Amino acid sequence: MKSFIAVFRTELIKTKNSFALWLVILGAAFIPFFFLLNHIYDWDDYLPKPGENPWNDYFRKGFNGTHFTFLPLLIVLLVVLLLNIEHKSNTWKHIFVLPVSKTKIFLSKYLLLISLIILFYCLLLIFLFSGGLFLSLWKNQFNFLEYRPSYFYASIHSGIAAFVVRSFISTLAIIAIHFWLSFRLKNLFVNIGIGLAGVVIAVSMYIPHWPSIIYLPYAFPVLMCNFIPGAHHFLSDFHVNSLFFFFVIFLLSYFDFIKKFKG
Amino acid sequence: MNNIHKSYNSNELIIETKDLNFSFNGKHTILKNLNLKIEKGSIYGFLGPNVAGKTTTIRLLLGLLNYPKNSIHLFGKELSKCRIEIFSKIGSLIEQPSLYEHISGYDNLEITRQIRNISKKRIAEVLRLVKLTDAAHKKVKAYSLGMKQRLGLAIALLAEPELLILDEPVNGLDPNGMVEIRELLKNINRELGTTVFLSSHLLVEIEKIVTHIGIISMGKLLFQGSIHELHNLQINQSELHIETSDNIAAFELLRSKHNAHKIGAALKIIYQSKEQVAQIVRELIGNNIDIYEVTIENKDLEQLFLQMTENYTVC
Repeated sequence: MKSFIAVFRTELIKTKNSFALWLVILGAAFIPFFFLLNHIYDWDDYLPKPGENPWNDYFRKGFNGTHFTFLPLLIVLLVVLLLNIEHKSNTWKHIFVLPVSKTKIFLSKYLLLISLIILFYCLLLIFLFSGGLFLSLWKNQFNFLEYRPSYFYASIHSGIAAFVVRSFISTLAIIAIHFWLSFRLKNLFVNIGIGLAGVVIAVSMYIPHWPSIIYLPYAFPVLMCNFIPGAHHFLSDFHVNSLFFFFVIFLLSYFDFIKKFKG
Repeated sequence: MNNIHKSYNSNELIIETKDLNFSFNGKHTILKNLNLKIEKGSIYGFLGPNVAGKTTTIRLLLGLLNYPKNSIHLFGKELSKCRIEIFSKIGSLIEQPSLYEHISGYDNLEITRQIRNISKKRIAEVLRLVKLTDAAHKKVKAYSLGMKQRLGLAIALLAEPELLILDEPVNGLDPNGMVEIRELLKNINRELGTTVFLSSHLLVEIEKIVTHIGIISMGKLLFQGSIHELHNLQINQSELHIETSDNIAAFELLRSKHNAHKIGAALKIIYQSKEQVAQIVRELIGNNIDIYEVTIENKDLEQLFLQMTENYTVC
């Protein structure tokens, strides 16, 4: 465990001055910033009805903006940039001759990636929340100061925490696919191109509501737009599919990394 | 000249390959029956022209390419079975140094330090050793090629390894830098007993520091032995040139006994020893032949190396 923590710490060192870290921060600020500008510009369209908790609608719309194409592309870019650090620096060969197991290298890179995605969600919530507070300070009619966001309990569409967990699960399939591609493909543009093509197909299937969209990994985050959870199950079909894709691809990529990948 | 293999006698072998063969996709043969034997405490120069198979050999030794089972032993153990234990004793530098250019030299060392669980003060020591203390906190992308090479060496030296595997370690260094690195390697070998395996395509770069040499060309080991054995081979390749008052008579006299040849106005004899020279002189004088000139034409090691590698063709 001690050596795993040491390897993870080295992964953190590698993110210093890298664009991956900035991508998380700027990516989390992007939608909340334009969402805020939109509220300022058309403020009278966004005023809540009397007695309505403004946070529910505010968060729902903010998350819709994030999930529709932005989140899957951001995830693709983040995975590619993180693993490209080793290709760009020609350092796979250095890592593989250090006295540490390849399992620890593989898992520490995954842990870093997951940590950055969790950081993205935290920052996204902070920026959205700050935007709401700012709007109420600017115009009291927004009523954000009168209510509290529904963090955990079910409101109109469920609490924020449950929504974020579902959103995260929806990204897992893309994470696994591009993690594998990223250590196998040196050319990051090919990798990004595959992700972009996947998202374009996902959006073109989402708009006409094709039923088979629940099997397309790139569509899973897009399906979180206006998501309404089922009454009995925490996860919808596409969440289950995302988990299934994740575990299968995670295992395949793990064995590829351990047995065949030499850098 | 081809296929000259010398084997060591008794010392513990740190690196041993047994009939190591390697080809890409089973077609293009890179290495043929390579039998490396590197003794503990030696500085082994692995010499060969470009594309001879040096880097491939090093990548195989470090498990960076797939290799046949039981063909590579390091510290007496099979590489695939004891990977982590073996790598904990090795510092390496392969081709260009593997460096994260977007972070500082210090952070590059810190990455290796964390994984190898070495004390922090060792970073300052190796930085001082390779003269990078002042540039430690600059981003590596601002480093010159020589500085990068020195940082790569510092990373290899960080854990005070028992075995250093260095692929062209003086590449990109200026003459002063080359001398410094040579001295550094010599000191490490002498003071810490570190075994050094270094590759080069230039004999002059390494002949002053190595104790043993392996010469490889087109994937085949042409010579392996101590530097003294190579010198002996060099001496055996030297020629004696003799000019006399009667070259025809001298040729007749020395032809059968010393395998003399006529070249122009002189005689050529393969040099064997000083005693052989004295004997030839005595024989000529004894037969009333005046000697105008006797010269020994030495082949230097570089010429010998070139002759070995140029003459060799794959069957």
